[in-house]
Amino acid sequence: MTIPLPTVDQIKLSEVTLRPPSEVMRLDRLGSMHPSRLSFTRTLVRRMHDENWRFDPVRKSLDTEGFGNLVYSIHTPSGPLNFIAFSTQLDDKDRTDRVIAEKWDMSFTLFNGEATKGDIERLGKQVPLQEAGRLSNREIVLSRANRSVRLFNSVVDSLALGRQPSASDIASIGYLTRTTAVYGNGKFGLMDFDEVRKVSPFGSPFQAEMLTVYMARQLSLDLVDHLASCRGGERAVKLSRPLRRALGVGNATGLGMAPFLVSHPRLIHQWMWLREVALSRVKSQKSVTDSVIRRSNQLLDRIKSHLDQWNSTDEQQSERIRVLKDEVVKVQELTRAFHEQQYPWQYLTRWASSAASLECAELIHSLMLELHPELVNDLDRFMGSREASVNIDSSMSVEHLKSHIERRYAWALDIDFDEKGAESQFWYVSAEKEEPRLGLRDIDPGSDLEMRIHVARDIVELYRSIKSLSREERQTSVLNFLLNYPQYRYIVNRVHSLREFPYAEIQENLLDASCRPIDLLRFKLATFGATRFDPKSNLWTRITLFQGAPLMDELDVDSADDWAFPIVQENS
Amino acid sequence: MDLSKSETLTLCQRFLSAVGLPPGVDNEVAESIVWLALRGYPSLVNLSQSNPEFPQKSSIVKQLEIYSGSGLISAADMHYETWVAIADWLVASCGNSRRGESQVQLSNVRNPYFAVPTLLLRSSHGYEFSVDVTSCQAVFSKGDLWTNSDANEFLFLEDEEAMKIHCVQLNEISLKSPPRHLNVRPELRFSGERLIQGENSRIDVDDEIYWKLKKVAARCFVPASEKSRQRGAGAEVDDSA
Repeated sequence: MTIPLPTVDQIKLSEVTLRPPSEVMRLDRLGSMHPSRLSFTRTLVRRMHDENWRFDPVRKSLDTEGFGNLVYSIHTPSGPLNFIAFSTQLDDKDRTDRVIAEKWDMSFTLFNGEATKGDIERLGKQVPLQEAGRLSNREIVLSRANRSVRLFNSVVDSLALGRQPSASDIASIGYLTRTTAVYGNGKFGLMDFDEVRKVSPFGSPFQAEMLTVYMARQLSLDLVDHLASCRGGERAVKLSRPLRRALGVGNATGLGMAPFLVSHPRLIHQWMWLREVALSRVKSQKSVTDSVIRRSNQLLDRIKSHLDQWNSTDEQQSERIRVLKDEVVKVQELTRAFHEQQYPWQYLTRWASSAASLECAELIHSLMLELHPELVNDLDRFMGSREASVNIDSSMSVEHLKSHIERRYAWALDIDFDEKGAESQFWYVSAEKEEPRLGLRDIDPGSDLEMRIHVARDIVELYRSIKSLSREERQTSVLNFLLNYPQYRYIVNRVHSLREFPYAEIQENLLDASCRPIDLLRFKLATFGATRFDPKSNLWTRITLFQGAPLMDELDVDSADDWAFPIVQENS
Repeated sequence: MDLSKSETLTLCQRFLSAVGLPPGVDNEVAESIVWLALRGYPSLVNLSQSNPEFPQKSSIVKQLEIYSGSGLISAADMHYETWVAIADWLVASCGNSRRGESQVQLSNVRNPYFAVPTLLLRSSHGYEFSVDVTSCQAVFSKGDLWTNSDANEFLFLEDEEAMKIHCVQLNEISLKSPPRHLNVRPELRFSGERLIQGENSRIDVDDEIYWKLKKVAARCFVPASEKSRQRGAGAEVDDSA
């Protein structure tokens, strides 16, 4: 009935104790995470390199304005895939990067196998409609993108005049197009993830989605070359390779991502647990070699340049980057003296815990993982998980359940929900494109339709109900309790299902006035591999994916995995 | 309309939540409905025809009488929540018994339609259920159903029958299939004509049924408003600034 997943027994643990969830699963720390070699963009590129994936443009039918259809064939050891894109005219008045948009500059799908002419015709009618269209079980991902108002046309104009565009513009913006949604797992009729695992190369989560974004980057690069050629004729030049590589794909990420983290607790556990395992392996190194010290020094130089090019209009983020720049200088001093130090990584992380910002502490973690591929890379194939359906241990006594909650959910029980502001926010799904949104309980309508994202409050209510029972009643089973209180079935099932998944819960009150959804977004986006976080409010952020990644004809080079902390050379 | 499994699950869960099933129960019922739909049973049609106003707290569960030692006795058509309670009871009794076994006798059972997905879900988590009725036997083990007759016979008992369910808590050794008791031939798994091809990956449903379900499910959504659009969500119109 189900496909077995690799078991954790296959994962080698080190002797260094993992950090406790109470330290790791806090929102301020999660909201400071940086991408690492376990991030999905990195694991995808590594896999494409290791398995020698090949990419061929097989259809290009564009007019002089760049409107039409492109198809790329992707050859993998598990069989071919097609990336099928449609570029359409979009009036400026219709251009919005919000999910609620109804038209886009370009739309695309990842197709399992080689599409026929009939498939492309069918998709040409459905894909540009996005949420309003219907897909089939041949399509794995549905997505769309808009041209960057700031960069796309200026790059075309430069190339058409025979000049390369300004590297500093590319450094400051970082993308030609922005995706505004990437859908998978059965949405709008797409193939279910269970099926994707069986019939396509994608056994791990978000690999198909990341490949789609990677191909969207290629699409944007091919489009500017095409338009420049149409406009400039023989005078036009193609975008130079260094600049192509310096461009990623943008995204304006809103709240939609956040509820996923609460509804997929086992998956979140897996991501964080493996990251902690990787860190503990690195920390257990008694010494580091000269070559690691040299490499560390090189990477820290790259990080300094990366930070110089990481601009944010958000005051708080700008200040964090400013502090981080100073701290990285100190990190470099400390790592240069690593050969004198036993367990140098433990020394460095202890220093970071006591003397550095969370931004810096998390950057150090990414650096550590980057420097030790031999200790980290084997973990990436375990990044998937399965959520439980019903896993209630109905024979457990209510008293035992109470004790378990006290041990495992002390963080939730510490929250005073009677305090002002503790429940001031609520999450809901808008009828408008089923977009997740955030409301203020005393002001906005809809709190009666609140999303099930309030784990901490559910735990507190369950605990209060249990405490109100007599001692005798608490000796009865969970079965009896749930017969009388069926409203707690969801949270009891969650508690029971996560007994062996300590990193599953984000240990915060997501309803509190002080909760910053942006931290949830950063955590998920860093796990995806996003860089250049540029928060625009507490609700959304700009990011870039695949900036610095090898292009599709560069995947076979030995250095294909070396693109962490991307920078744009100003003299490109 | 050709639906994916996950969108059907979301649709059913929202429908059931909208009509008042408690959190958690809505998920379990939705999973069962999808399980049946994937095997060609008209569970989505049934759902669309069901009374869309479930009681907030199930009266069905309350009707169950629990006798210590002798199990549950119930009667007539059994709804999903009854089976949830029975499965809970069997599992709890296993946990409380020294031998890790429990048994329940049910009388006057008819159409144990929801017994299949309910027991299957539980059997994925270390329990094995063997079920006896007059006309057939079935074993639920490791998320699979094994039967010595047409599975349809089991799903649609038309007469009121006596049913015995035996539950065993599995250990590592007994987790090896096939099920070790009853004279069930493994190759007869899903031998019913409609189940012989096993699980489909898609669900075919009439547009009318789909939109009927969708309309009720939409009660979970907060109506659109300009204020909500401006203030409730992130992201921007374009990247010009």
